[in-house]
Amino acid sequence: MRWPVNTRALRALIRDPMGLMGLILVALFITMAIAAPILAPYNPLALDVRAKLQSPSLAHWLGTDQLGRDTLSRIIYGARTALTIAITAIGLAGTIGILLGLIAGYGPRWLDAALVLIFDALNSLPMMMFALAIITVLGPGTGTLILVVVLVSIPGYARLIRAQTLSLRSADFIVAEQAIGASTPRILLMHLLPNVFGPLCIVLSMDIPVVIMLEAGLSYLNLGVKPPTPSWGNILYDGYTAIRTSSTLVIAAGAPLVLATLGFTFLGEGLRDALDPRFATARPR
Amino acid sequence: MTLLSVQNLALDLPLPGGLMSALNPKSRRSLQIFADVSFTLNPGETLGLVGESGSGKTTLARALLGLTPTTHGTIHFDDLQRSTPADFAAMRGRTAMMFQDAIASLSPRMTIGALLTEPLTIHGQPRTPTKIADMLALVGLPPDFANRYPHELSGGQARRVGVARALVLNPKLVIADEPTAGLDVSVQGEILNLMTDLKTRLNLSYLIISHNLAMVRHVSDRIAVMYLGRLVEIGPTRQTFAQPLHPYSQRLIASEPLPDPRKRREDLAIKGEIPSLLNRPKACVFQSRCPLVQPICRNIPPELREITPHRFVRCHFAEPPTGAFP
Repeated sequence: MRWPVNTRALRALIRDPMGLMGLILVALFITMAIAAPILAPYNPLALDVRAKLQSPSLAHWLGTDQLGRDTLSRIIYGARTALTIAITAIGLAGTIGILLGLIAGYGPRWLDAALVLIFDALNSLPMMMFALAIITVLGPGTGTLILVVVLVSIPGYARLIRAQTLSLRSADFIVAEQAIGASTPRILLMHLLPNVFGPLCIVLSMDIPVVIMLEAGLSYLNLGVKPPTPSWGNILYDGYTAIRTSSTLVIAAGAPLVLATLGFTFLGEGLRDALDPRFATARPR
Repeated sequence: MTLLSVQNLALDLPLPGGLMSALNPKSRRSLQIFADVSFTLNPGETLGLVGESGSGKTTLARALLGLTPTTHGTIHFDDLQRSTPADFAAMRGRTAMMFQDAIASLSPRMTIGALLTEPLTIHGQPRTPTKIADMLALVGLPPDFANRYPHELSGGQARRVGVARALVLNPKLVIADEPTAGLDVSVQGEILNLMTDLKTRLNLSYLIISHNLAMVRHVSDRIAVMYLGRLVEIGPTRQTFAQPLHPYSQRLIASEPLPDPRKRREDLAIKGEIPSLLNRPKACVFQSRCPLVQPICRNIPPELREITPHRFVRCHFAEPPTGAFP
């Protein structure tokens, strides 16, 4: 089996300035998330009320918040929160979407019709309204946030995989596998999946910033990650309440949010171009 | 004892209809892909199935292996009736299929080595370390092909891999759909020689589907002629080619280009186009193009009759061959 990761595509990605920038930003945020305990100068939850709302200084590079917590440490740990939620939710939604899409595309027609009806029903709900409804029922929290993202994202992924599967289900190599007696799971996972995965891979990477934004947005409204767990949305809210005293907090939380969103979007677009063989050949050089 | 026996096999596909057809079942229309297909195939025999494009050959081949459902008729393989998916699943491994588009029939993200061992994995058969190299050697490919991907092969090489993959499980019956399509003449010859050589070594039976009459004539013991979803003539290859008895087979065989430019068989030229499946002629399917057509041909469908021993023809006017058999 060969997955759509090859050196040619990687080189094309690095040659593209936007792609390279995306790659660097994403690498930066992933490093921040993984190495948060090493990188963060302070415990992000440690209170120091005497040092509240300080401006940037050598001791606190990005200052402190109302409770005297070190903003830089909270931002670094916020990357961990944002990426954990985004990657878990997208990974989960991607896996379920792939399975449902394969089943809808390859299975009997009635099952396809039933699944497409469910996808359409979920798709027709506005994301924010749906998120607010679920949060009202289940209460805010990381788990609820992930559930919302998974439910909202599945239809899109499943539809993409379904369309690809439909176009391949009667391809010669699939009939050939049936003729040698390959089981349905084998055909789905070993023969269809590697051939439909590429386009989804790009969509998944471009959806990560959407989830990061959603998490920050809901946390800002106090409907997402519960304080005191650091989240860029929480920090932004703290900054909003303190904006008359100091603008450091808002800028410190807004910048990584913008940069992470841009980074993942650039990476996704770069990947899309780098993996598209037509684009690669049409390019001079 | 026969290896494969088919009786009255038919496939009708329902045409999508509107609201009226949903309310009134009688107005539902269906498309007949093939009907009343009956033939047998003996162990070690090669049957050539010829006919124009669109006559239903490939669909019939897939139906014989249970890859396409059928609406009527029975299939017996190894003296057991095969009708349910489980029946067909039980015969996988003893039957194999070679596809018209050899490259497209290989899963694109697997190596040749993985593709060759996959049938063994699926059927739980032991795989010796040299199995891949052995299979590649059997079809005349060097062992380093095991690490290549399907898109890195030429048409002839992919065809050889197709042969190897078909034979990994030691099948009894191999259905080959246009085994020489898209190959240049020298490679066609190599593939056919390989197939006939393996047939005698491994005691295979072939059902070879093609519109290449010269090729079928070269490799088949018997031939079956298909026209618009009906078998119109079945018989031993030599006799059928020497003296075809059905008016369609006569014209099909006469249409084959002859090496002598002065010999032309204008009298046997076939006129018109093959009718659309949507307005298939009633009764005899060949009536719209047959010069011998009579009122009976428009009213009573002809049966496949045994005109002389071993020769079956579906025509009201077919007669035993005249004169000495050349």
